[in-house]
Amino acid sequence: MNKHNRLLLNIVSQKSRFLYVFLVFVGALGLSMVTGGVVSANLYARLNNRSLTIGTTEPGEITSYTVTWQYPASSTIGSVRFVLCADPYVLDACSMTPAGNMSSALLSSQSGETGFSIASQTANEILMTRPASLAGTMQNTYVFDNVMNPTGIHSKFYWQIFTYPTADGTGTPNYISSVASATASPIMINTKVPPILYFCAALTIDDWCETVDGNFIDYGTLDAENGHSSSSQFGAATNALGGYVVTVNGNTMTSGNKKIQALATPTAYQTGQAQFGLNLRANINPALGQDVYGDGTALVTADYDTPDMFKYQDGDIVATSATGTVFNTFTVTYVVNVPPDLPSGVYNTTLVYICTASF
Amino acid sequence: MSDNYAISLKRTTALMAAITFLSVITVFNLSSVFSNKVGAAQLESRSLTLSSTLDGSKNVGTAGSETNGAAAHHTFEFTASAGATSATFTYCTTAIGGCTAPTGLVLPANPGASSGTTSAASNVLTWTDTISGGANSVTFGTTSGITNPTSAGSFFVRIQTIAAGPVNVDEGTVASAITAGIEITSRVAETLGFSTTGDFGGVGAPGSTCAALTGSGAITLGDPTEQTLSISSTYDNYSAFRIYTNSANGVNIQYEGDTLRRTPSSVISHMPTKAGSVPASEQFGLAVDSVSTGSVSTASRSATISFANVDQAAALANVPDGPLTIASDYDTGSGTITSGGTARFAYVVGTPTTIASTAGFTNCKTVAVRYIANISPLTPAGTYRTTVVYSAVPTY
Repeated sequence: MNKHNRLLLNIVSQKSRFLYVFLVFVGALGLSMVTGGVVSANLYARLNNRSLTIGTTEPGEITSYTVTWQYPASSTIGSVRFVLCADPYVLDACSMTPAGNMSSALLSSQSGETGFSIASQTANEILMTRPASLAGTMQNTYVFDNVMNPTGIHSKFYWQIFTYPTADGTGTPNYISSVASATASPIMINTKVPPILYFCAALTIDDWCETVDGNFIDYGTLDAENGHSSSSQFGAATNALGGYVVTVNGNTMTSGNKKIQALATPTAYQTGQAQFGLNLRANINPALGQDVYGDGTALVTADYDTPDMFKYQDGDIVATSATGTVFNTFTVTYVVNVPPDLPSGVYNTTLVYICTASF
Repeated sequence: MSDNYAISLKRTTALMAAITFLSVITVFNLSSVFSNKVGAAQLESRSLTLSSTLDGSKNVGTAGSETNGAAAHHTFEFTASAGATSATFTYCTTAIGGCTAPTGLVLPANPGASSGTTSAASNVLTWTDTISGGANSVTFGTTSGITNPTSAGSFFVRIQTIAAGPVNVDEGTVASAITAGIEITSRVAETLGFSTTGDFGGVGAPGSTCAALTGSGAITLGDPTEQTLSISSTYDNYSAFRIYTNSANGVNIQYEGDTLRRTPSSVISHMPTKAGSVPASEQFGLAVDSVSTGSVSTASRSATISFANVDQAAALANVPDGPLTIASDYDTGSGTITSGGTARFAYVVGTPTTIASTAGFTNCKTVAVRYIANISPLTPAGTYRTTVVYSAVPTY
């Protein structure tokens, strides 16, 4: 093979090689276009540790909005724009504006980077500005009062936040982010407290009228030399704001048209006298009775509140409470004395205690 | 012999000499064109691999990474003859002919190499090393990255191995290309779903969308017929909230509201500290009930409440999204509410109070909140109301 032929072969082989390289190159180019590209998320600078707290989540309510964030690095900040939006896609135009209203918002508080004031505002946008200056990486918090929540239940919404190095919200933002909040159904709780009155009367009663026992007193045979006394009890409790009164009602002891004189005024116990009376105290003469007891605040009325002095008038108030009170137990001591000339007969009476609460 | 023959012989000889001379000249002229391809061997199995095919203006990530065209590594592989002690790499816009440096290419004065030493000037990189006969591989830019050409398209590197002398040994051309790269952009939006209800008929299965709770927020406390409270027994009722969010720093769920109030000065006292139910004393409080599946009868309702779609205490500790942590004052809402019962409640008036929280993002969680009320014999009669507002505050 001569040089010339070898030359030709070399040229042909070079062409082949070149073609091979070219094809490999094209293939590699294609492959690199498929696999050699950068795959990454859009890395626009975001604010750190950001949140939005609203004063109430009730839809349509006027409330305060507290927004907070940190700059990831020291940056020149001159203005901040807040946009109310239904979506957080800060690089796109807002898809829908929730029916909230920021047009009357007031910047009531600021901390961290301060010196801002509202330069302009609409229903869905606030621009606050200050002279541009370097901002640090501390937490910044801004409170806007008088902001109306979006209407609609369970409506999530976003504040898109754009910060600018300029003092008028123009130019390219240096940070853009979103924060989210949501309205929610308030839980409305209703309940009632009924009027409450506990009242019972018997010979003996228990706390809160759980046990009541007996309603008949038999004095037996009355005589002028010996006095006669007995007792019964009543108790009361109420939530009436006006408290309660307890009255005693009924005639003195009678037998047909004969009667034992009731004591018109508080009078000492005296045998041989015509006496029918009662009090609500612990007595010495006769040795009977008990003062009022219990955790309540009820009182015995004055005419029936003196030991050893007795009175009875039909309809008299014997106990009161000025306001609602827990249970008190009252012990009533009855005295019956007769003169020597009292006509014979069966003398009796029925006393009814009435408790009236003022709600 | 005639003079013409003598002359013809001279002419023939001269002609032969001329033809030979021309052939030689032709050969030499051809060799001057193809001299390398005639005298030097070809580098076989040669290739150029770029660490990044992005142009030299792209300076993202570390040097030598796929995203950094401003500081790239260039790896050459070739099979060579033995004997070469250095090689030059000449970057051109074409494979043959005059060499124009690709626009934007910057070869550092000392780019560094995976072996041997390097230097560079303009578009020529010189590598000094013992080049073995056989397969060779060297990466340049290890000390100071190479700035790729800034224009998209192909470029070529003409390689020449050189032995001492200097004598050219092998040669070959490789090619590569600068591409724009395929950028895939995606956005992960901040998400938040939060809803409440007082109607447990509205507590349906969340499904894949974590569907919002529906129904009215109105509930009553008291006996089922009259909705009245009692001094002898405790009444309770429930509401629910549902939450999801992708906030990396978690979410706080808070409540805020007044106690049960009849008039400006007449209230049922709230429970400022965690405590059990005490009938005949004024109490209003709430807590998270951990009951989940199944149903619960409450004294306030004439029908049972189904908690089929409410998380239970164990489910509140779901992984992998992390637990919903109930604040300690509100974590014992299940249990009995008789005197000395096991359930515990609390309530703060006038201040947003955290009832539950997460440390990070949370998948769909539904929670039942239980309310109780007791009255004393002194609690004035009348209608009492309050509104409890729940809010979710995610921190992204």
